[in-house]
Amino acid sequence: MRFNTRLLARCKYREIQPAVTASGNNDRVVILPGLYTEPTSRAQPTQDPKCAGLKQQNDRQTETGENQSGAVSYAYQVKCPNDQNLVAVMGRANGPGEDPQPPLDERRGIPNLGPCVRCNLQMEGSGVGADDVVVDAGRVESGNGGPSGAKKDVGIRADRADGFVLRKLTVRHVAEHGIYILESDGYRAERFKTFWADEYGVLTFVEDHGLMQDCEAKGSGDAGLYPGSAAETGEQSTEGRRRYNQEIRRCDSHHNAAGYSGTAANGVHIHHNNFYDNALGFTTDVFTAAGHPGFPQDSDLIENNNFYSNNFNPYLAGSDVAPTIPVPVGTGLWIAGGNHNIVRNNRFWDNWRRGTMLFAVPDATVCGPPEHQAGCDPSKVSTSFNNEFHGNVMGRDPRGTRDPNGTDFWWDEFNGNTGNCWYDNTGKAGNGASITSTPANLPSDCKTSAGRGGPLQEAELGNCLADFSVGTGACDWFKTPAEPQ
Amino acid sequence: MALGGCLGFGSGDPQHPPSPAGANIGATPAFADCAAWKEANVRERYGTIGEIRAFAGGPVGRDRSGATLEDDDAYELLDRACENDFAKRFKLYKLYTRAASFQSERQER
Repeated sequence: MRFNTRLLARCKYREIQPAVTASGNNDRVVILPGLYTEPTSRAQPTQDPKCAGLKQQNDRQTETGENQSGAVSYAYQVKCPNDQNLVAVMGRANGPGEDPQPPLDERRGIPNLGPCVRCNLQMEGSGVGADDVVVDAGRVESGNGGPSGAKKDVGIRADRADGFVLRKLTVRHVAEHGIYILESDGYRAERFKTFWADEYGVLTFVEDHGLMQDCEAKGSGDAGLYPGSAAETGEQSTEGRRRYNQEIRRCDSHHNAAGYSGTAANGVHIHHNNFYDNALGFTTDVFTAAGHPGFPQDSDLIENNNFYSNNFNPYLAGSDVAPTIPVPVGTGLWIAGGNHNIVRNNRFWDNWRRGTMLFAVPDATVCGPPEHQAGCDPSKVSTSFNNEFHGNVMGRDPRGTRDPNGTDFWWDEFNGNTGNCWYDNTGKAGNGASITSTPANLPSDCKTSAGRGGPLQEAELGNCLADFSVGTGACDWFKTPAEPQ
Repeated sequence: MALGGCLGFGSGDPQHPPSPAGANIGATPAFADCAAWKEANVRERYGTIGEIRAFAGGPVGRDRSGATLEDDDAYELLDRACENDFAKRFKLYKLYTRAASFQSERQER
């Protein structure tokens, strides 16, 4: 209290955004305990006409020959930082030249990069913990629950803000991402909480050298934590070595549609977290391959986490969370198209449908238009290969009490998938023999593992993802499974 | 039946596509959800499908593109998904891209 009283005497700003705007490289924005609704930011229009000329083409022209334009550019965010964002940390000035038009096929690096103006910025609550500083972009009366009543898409945006640090605050009630970190080399987000983001509690995009720890994410319509399109530092690395580019540890992600999600989330190390009371505890995938650099997903290390009781059903009438994605209620983890992931030494218990699922996503991409498909093999399937599940404890809680999953492991046995294996896992009776799986026998030898087709599994995926056959009853993902005995 | 002249949206920031100029369901494609689908007319729905197709079919690496659906198939899929109350806030592009990724798994209807 005395510390904050002394800080209060030095306080210059009543809102966070002007303090950020006034900051430069290596500065620190200290936020006193309180509720910050940022009325000035809230009053800024969305799709502000004064920034309309700063949209740009961010993709190849289509076969229509029309110049597709209209993506919101970095320059747009610099000029209109509170159009979409309650608080925006724009780390660099606009670049000196012009962004390449059309955009480059090579997505590594940022062309036309401007100088740092807010790099190594720290943003920190000065209270005892995250509860003391609340940044609210929507309906304050909802508290740490819903509905969000979001007035802004994003709570706190850190954009090209290398070395960004965020600590000890809560962000809630946004239309998209509570905390959004993108194109920033190096970030550290810790001791934070996010509540009732309509989409993602935290979304990082094309990030490298990042750390998320000691956090909580709850109430998201998609995922609590999401490191999408992570840097290519795994199997597809061009550095001559493999490394993990982001680390997520000691977080609780619960009561979301998904606890964690990562489209093209390559080379992420996820450990010592709790994913519980979600519909699906964890997903990494290749959906929406276009717009997510890094396809196909690969090389995560998922270890020493607890995945339990992911039986929350947001699809029921009256749910306090409005889901934006279709996922199978009662599932601990799935790899929906991914390669070279390691799932080891985790606990999965009380997930009423399945502990884990692994399947190929056969049609995520096609060969490009003629001028962009040199060497493309149209028959090539890019996932799911070389994933390992070992040392996991299935169907027993940390006290050793029996608490089974519906089925421990599920694999689609996609024809031609190789290198996937399950070994040294234990089941509800504390031994390998009590593991339950589809198919009944899973390959334990990665070298000889080969999928030869699983028609029932493929039918389920077809019914639920390709056809959405809910009305006919062919897909039961949105019903809570019976509790297994 | 896809309408020409509708602007698509680029992949630099997939969460924030632009406001399109042609007929659509009244929301930027990233926000277009089943609730908006149900309020829209046929022309607007096909307009939005065209915008999603342009996004979903964007480049993937140097030699590939994202998978897309035939517009009529996309219309049927979204109509079928969105008739479920629980899908009210489902983002249309998420439904679309998942279905496009499993076209070879489609069951005979």
